[in-house]
Amino acid sequence: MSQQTTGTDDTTRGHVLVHDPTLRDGHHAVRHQLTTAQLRGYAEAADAAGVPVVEVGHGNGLGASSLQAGRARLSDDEMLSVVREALSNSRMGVFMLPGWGTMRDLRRAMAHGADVVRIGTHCTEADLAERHLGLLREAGVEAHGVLLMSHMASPAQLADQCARLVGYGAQGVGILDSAGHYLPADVSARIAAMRAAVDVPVMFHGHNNLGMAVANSVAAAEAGADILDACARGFGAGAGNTQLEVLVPVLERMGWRTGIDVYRLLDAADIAERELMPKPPTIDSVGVVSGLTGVFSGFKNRVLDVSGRQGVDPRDVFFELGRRQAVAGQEDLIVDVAFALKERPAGAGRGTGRERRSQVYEELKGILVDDLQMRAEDVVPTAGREQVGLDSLAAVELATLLSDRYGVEIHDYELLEADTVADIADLVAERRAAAPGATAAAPAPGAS
Amino acid sequence: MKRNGRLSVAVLGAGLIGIDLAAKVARSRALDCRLVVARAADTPGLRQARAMGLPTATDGIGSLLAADEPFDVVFDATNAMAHAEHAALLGPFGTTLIDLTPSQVGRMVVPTVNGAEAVGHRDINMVSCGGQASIPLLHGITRRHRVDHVEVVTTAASRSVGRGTRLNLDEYVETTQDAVRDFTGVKDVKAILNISPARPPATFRVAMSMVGQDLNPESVRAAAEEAAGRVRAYAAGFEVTACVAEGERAFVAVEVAAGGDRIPRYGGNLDLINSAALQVAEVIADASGPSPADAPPPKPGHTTLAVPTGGTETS
Repeated sequence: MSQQTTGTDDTTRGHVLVHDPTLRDGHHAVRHQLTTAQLRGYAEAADAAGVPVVEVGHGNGLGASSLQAGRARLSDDEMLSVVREALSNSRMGVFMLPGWGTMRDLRRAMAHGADVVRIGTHCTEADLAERHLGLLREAGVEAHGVLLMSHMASPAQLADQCARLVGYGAQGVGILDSAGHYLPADVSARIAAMRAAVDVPVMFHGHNNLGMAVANSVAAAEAGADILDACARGFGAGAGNTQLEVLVPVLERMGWRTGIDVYRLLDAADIAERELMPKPPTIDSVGVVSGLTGVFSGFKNRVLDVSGRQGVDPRDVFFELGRRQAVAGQEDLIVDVAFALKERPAGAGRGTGRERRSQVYEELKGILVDDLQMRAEDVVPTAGREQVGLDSLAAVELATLLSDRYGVEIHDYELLEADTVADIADLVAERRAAAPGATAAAPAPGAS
Repeated sequence: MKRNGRLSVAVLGAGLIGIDLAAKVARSRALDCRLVVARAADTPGLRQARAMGLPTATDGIGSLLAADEPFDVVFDATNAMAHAEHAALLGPFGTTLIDLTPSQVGRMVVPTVNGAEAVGHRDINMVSCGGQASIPLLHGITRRHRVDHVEVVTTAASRSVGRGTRLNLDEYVETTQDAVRDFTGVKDVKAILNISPARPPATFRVAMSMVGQDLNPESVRAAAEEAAGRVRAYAAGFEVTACVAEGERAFVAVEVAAGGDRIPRYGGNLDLINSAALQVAEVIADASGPSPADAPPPKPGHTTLAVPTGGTETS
């Protein structure tokens, strides 16, 4: 399966299986409103081009039509019936997130003739897929386990989670760059670690928030990925996915084989642009911020809606969601975040580079009160060390807590040199801004 | 058998839920925690139970069946697939089961809504943590307003979600949906569960979205706050954190911080369902007759009954 096992001839690097979620991830871009005619039209075109797998469904997968993530025009049954009928050679793929869909949805999808079923979980929660993968294997359908928001875990963590997925029965494993946060080196390290941990096909799914989707996908292939996801015109959540009709010729030119007819693929992509989308995805300002902050691409429309209603800057909302480490599916948090930002005193600075002072202050206050048991009424910006009770022992504890929480190095003696709580907050903000990866409001453990 | 005025209780399952529950039962003046049961000897849960001075056993349901005399109440903190069997095996002994798994086998009880119904049922189901958080509010709101669609989105911190719950995601979703339908009468219901590994861990949270008619903000907020106040009688960290309503749409979010001794603050999911289960057991204890005068005095931290069943609180 892995192309490293094939010859050393540059012109034949082996086979890469291209998996096309245009009719699933693209749904995010049009609020899950594709019609049967649109699904049929694109599925037939992809089938004619020889695209191996065509995935269909609500953007968040089977059973996900909801106020939370958007209600779909068509039911899962309707979507699967029409695409099944349109495919004569391509296999039909579906996707499901446990907690959103259930085994009941999987059984229905199998009854509709789904050939490849992906079970997705947040990147550190693979065991949520255990029973679903087991059911699929029992039923004899091809079952893959994929990890969402994978930039929030280290290569070693991802390798471990993939090994678990294989233990539950996954016949393929993969990672989604759900936020479009990766640079090529991030992808190489992760795919290589996964490749070394499992002996089933390894998949990469890119998003284009930082303009890296094709480069990241190539890096994945070079690191040993066997399956690459890509969508026509990049039709997908947020800034869009890896662009299918670009990726395929690039791979072919580099010596990989995809089995896809490039001319017909270009036709399919033209049909997609004409029939599926009001305009192809672009990397707009919000898309850049979403990628930088590592926030789920599918949040975009909801963030724009809620920010518009509450009169707050959507970029601020993305930074705050990043800071709270929102995972895919947590759209409900957007409302709370917008309200919190609206109530914030005017004049607070932007999140990028320099941390907002007031925000850091509030977090620091939380640590002083919740963790170090200081009295909330004593902790005010102008309070000195004595007033809040920050003695040398407490300073050591605080230094440890700050470095655990924020991954920045602050020494206890530095804390003792600060005159007031506000000065400590400034020190923390300064260190966080200077730390590597400070563009992401809250670098997750292991994120690079 | 009520002895010293207290019902004899066993906790089946020594995971995150079982151990916190055992600690709560051990504090209760109406309940006597006689046994905590796991299926293996050296689990962290059983070590904690032993450290609390509680008797333990390691043969799962077998340990309960082998006990010298039947228990009045058994809390089932295992998993949904196992509960039906547990109920069938314990039924002949006259034991009341209080089921913490989303098995949907027994009578579903939410203390502030139908707590009194616990008396007289031998198998009581505590729905789910999301159900315990949402149903009190949804029940209150749907009594005042026409609501046609309800969505309940739960977010629990990864560390507060143990193995049993991870294996029971589907049961969680389906049981929560069915319970919301039953308690509110709204037919179109969707439940979603997100698990968050954020650090520091995110506090347990349940967001409710509704589509209906004339959802005015004052009345929705009043219903939500009133219900939340009643839940706080047994789960002090229960707060409404967002409430927006405008005509056809309403959105209400609650967060539940654990106030318990064994659960970190973020684990309100565990604290809430356990406090509700304890509440139910105490209602049953009260209904089974007044305690003798020599009952031990109440201990600090004891919660008051939110749903008195006619009997007076023993003190």
